[in-house]
Amino acid sequence: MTVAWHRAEQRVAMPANGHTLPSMQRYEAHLRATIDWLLLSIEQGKGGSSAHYSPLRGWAAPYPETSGYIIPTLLEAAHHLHDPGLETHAEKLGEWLLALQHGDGWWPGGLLTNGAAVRPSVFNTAQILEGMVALARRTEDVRWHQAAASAAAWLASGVDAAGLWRQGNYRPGFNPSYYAQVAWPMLQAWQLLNHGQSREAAVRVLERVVALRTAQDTIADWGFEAGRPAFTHTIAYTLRGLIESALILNAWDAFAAPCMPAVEKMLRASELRNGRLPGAYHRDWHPVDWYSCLTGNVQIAVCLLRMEQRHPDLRVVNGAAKLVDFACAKQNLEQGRKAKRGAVAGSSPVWGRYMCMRYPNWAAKYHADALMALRDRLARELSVS
Amino acid sequence: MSGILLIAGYDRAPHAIAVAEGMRRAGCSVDQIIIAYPLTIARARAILRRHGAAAVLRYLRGERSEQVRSPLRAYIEAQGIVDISLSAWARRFGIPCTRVGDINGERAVRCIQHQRPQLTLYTGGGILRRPVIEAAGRRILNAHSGPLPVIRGMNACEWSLLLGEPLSVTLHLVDEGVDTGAIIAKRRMAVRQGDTVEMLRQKCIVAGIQLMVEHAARAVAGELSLAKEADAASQRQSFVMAPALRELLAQRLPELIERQGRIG
Repeated sequence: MTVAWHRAEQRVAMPANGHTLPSMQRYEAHLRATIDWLLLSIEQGKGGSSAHYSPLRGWAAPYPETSGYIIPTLLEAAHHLHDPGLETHAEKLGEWLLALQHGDGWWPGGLLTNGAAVRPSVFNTAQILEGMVALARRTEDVRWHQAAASAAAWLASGVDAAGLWRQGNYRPGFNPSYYAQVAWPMLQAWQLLNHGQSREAAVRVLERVVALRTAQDTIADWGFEAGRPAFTHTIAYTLRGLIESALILNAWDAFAAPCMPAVEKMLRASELRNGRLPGAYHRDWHPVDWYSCLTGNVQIAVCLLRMEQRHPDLRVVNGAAKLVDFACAKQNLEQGRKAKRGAVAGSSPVWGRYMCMRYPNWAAKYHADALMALRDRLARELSVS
Repeated sequence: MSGILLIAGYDRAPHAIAVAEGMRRAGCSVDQIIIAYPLTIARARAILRRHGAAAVLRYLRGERSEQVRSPLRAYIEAQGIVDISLSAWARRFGIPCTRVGDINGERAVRCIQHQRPQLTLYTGGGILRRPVIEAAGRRILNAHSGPLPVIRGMNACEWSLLLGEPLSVTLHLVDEGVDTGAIIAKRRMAVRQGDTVEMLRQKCIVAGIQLMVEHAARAVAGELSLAKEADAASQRQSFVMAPALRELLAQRLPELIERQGRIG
């Protein structure tokens, strides 16, 4: 979720007629708890956001990648919750990340266990780039522009003619389809900096991803490993990257339309399963159903709402609401252990395969994004009445 | 092929009784009734959630609730229908009545195959699968409370209002999809300020009863061909409304009703 689309396209003030819905108030309570948990993760991460909390092992080391994309979430939440202090937290995260950026423009992969950047990462750099772009748009501070420019240049220079990166991959030699979620921040950087190379490289990446669409309307290699079932988390990365990129490039038919059958499939599954998507899917859509990936659920909710923005249909909002409601039902808002209040588990049940027994900061981030997008959409509907 | 089969979702379904009685008065009485009642935990839970425990208890005791003045109840009373259940109605007129747990189960399919009905009137009981549809010769009528093909699936009345589609009842043939079969007839509903969603739902049910009886009688008399092409199933299916959307509908209802008046 970029600040740009929320600011310019999505966000509406709460309806002037004073109308609201009980569900919107409920969503606000969940949003507040989720953001408070994210702030706790930053406190525990000593500058960055701790990657996850585990009831067994406590708080993990800070995670640069997710700290980066938590920035636009905090900036947006500042508006939703009327809490300008969240902007300060976002800036502090940005400053923490600036100190980690390599001179060549990249950020490291993995958790910052030893306090030092070790290995460049394409995906993680792109997610942090999103945070830098969001800060640059918000504050006009030259530091964010410079960091974004440097990262965008590094990403663009690594893409070959086939739309592949040879270095900086999570698994050496494997360019997953969810790199569509890398192309999107590159395009944000292009918008901000008018950096033509970023656009050209991102388009090559997107063309490669779209070409991987299968006869079953899945997209090959959209999981962490080739030939393995893909978590809905990485499926959502892929779909979101394609949708957002298509919107930025005004190229819906080229990049978003090819993934619409998959988005519709997710919409239908969310309805038929009352908001509980299977945790993962095989290439032929055979589900891995014994757990649900909560992160993926709420990411898909955002994908649905973004698609619906292009083709309005409240039935799509309905599917998104069910996904969000399911995650809300699994979130603990009660008093109790502070580290679990407002946290969102990786899986439901919590011992599911995705982030087993852990509460990742990115689950909270995407839950907050989905809550805000849904509130915006409902507010828009109320404001026209 | 012989006669008319009526399939109902539960024994005390007032609209099913009204269809049976309507057909009798039209001079083409149903010849066989199948009552499918898959009482599962999920279904019991859904009923409790929707109506509340007190209403369910009142219903089980045979008491009439606040629904006495509802459009459906008013219609039933205006028709002089006194039977409390379909099985009671069937006994009164000597119509064979079979109960099955699953409308798509073997027993139901055998029963339909044995009768080889000329026409089947469907008034609820779950999504019909191919064996049942084939056994009934693909001549199954269903009244849907929404304008097909645009609004198909669950909560059709609610979605018609919220999406600004003309509130309508559509009579259609059942095929393997959800409300995707050929359209036989459509009736636009009158909507007035002060109508609640529940009232509008019931008005649709009443219109569905009338539409089904009228067209089934014509089909039996050979005045209506059921050999129609199915409509495209490309429209997005509607599902049960999430709480937020239901609240939105309730909040906007007066304006949505006004909008219905402006739809051409």
